[in-house]
Amino acid sequence: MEAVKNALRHPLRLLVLVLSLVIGVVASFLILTILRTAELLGQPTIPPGVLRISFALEAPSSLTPAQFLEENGLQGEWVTLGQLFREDVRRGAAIGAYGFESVETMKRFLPTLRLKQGGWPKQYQLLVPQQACRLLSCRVGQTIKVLYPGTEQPVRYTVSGIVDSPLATTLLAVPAAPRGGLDWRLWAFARSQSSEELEDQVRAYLQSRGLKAADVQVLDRIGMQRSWRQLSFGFTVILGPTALVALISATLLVLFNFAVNRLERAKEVAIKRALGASRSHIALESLAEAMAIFLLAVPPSLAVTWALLDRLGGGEAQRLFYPEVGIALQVFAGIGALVLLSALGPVLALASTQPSSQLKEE
Amino acid sequence: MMLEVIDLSRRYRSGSQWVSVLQNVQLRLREGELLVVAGRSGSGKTTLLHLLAGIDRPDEGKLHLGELVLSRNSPEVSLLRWRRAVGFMHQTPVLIPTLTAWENALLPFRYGGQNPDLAWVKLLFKRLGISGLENRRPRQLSGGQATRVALVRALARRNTLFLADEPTGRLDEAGATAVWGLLLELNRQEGISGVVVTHDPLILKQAHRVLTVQEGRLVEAVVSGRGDL
Ligand SMILES: Nc1ncnc2c1ncn2[C@@H]1O[C@H](COP(=O)(O)OP(=O)(O)OP(=O)(O)O)[C@@H](O)[C@H]1O
Ligand SMILES: [Mg+2]
Repeated sequence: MEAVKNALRHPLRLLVLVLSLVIGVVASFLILTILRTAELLGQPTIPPGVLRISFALEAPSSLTPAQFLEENGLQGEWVTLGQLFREDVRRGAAIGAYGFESVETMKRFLPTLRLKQGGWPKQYQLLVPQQACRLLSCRVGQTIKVLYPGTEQPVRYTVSGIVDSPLATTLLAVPAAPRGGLDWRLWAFARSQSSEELEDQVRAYLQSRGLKAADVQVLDRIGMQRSWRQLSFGFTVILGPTALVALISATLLVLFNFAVNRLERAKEVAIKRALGASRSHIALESLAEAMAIFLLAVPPSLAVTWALLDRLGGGEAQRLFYPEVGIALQVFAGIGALVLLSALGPVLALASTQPSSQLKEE
Repeated sequence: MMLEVIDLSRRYRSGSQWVSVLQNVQLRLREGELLVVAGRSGSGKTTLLHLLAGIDRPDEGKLHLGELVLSRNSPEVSLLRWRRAVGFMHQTPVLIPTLTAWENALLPFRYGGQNPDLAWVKLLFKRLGISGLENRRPRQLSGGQATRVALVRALARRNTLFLADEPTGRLDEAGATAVWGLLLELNRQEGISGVVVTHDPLILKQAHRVLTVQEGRLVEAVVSGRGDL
């Protein structure tokens, strides 16, 4: 209580300090989330010695992945990447689709699922959204190979049912695909060819079939890692300085707040010391004040950023950004340490003032 | 013996020179003794009182208060114990602006490790005529009222030694009379010993001894005090 009163002594100064902390929190929460997303998405999903082909068609077509591979004479297999509806998802447990650990949004979608065919999934069974199923021309009982980021072998699932769901595109969607404009995207894996050659072949094939594809991409494991690294570097370059500037100014303001306090409060501290307060009494009181400022600024702005990220991810199937508890805690602890450490110097100086000389000045 | 001061010296650096403010000061204060210290402005009264209060360290000499000893090299803990063992009222009242008068008066208990004696503090407010001002902030108090709150704070812990630096300097005659009345009563009835810096003639005759600081030494003044000790 007293710490709060002390902090409120200069409302304007406090406001500026709180604002810079808020900006610092928001920027660092965002940057950490984006980096985390980039890291998760960037986990290699291509086995060594294999090339990944992906393209999005500009108009709907009946071309299936299996057909594509066969007609191109590619010795590959096709797998899907995407959100899954397994048994454990129904129970609300975590699932590694796209490597996201959070299923909070999944839980939100589940009640809206309507089973069109088949039944709810059991172990190693899978619900497939209707639209994805059409693209993949899958049937109930058929096996689908799903590749998880970070693993090299696809996991086989039996399609237990087909659902009508807002997540219709997720099985085939890739993170970089434009929202809404995506028709479908095929991920095929082929062996022993150079990526340039394969890319040319795919383009020629699509052209011969009268299909228009946007961004045909053939990547090997190394190329994929490189492209993700570039992406996350881009995020860092844009957001890093913002977070840095905000946090540096927050630190300076905290320092300033307590350095100014030091001059203003020298007499008060001296009288407390004269009454028998020890250095640690004084230091603790001042740190409590720093804590009060921190608590005033940080948890609310964490909450706001959380809500923002939740919105940013959108209610749509194709979610990129998930607010994570771990990151929120990191920001909380990191900025807490920053505030306490920058308060510490002035606070210690405050605590070691000699009562006598301070009390003599009129 | 309540308080014993042996060969106490204190000097300050002023520019490139050392100015000796107190030199080989000797003082023996008996239990229950009320001592007045006078002296012209700048003679070193406040300096002496700060040393007696343990908020300054002597350059030479020693101070004894019961079991406690203070000297130039005393550790911080000894200083803290000493400060908690005396009630000290500073020349200009410094109250914490964010605390109420009541909270200011209770401040010594926060750092002293004693349980606050609320009834006693209440009584002190009453005796000094500031009852009803307990919930005011310092900026809502007059100079005289703030002085009296500071006096309550100095007396709150009921220490056996009380030190005051011109406690009535900012009070009118009625206020001064109330303060001296209270201090004399505490001295007579509770046996509290006191060292009070003042020039107020109201109290000079009531003190057991009157000393003056002259050229860095404590000198027995000509004024004769009361003889009940
Ligand atoms: N920290 C200091 N540094 C240098 N000189 C000091 C310091 N403190 C006090 N002095 C000097 O020591 C002398 C005694 O000061 P002190 O405050 O004890 O006087 P005083 O007797 O209380 O005066 P007053 O009646 O005006 O309160 C003064 O000449 C003062 O200038
Ligand atoms: Mg003085």
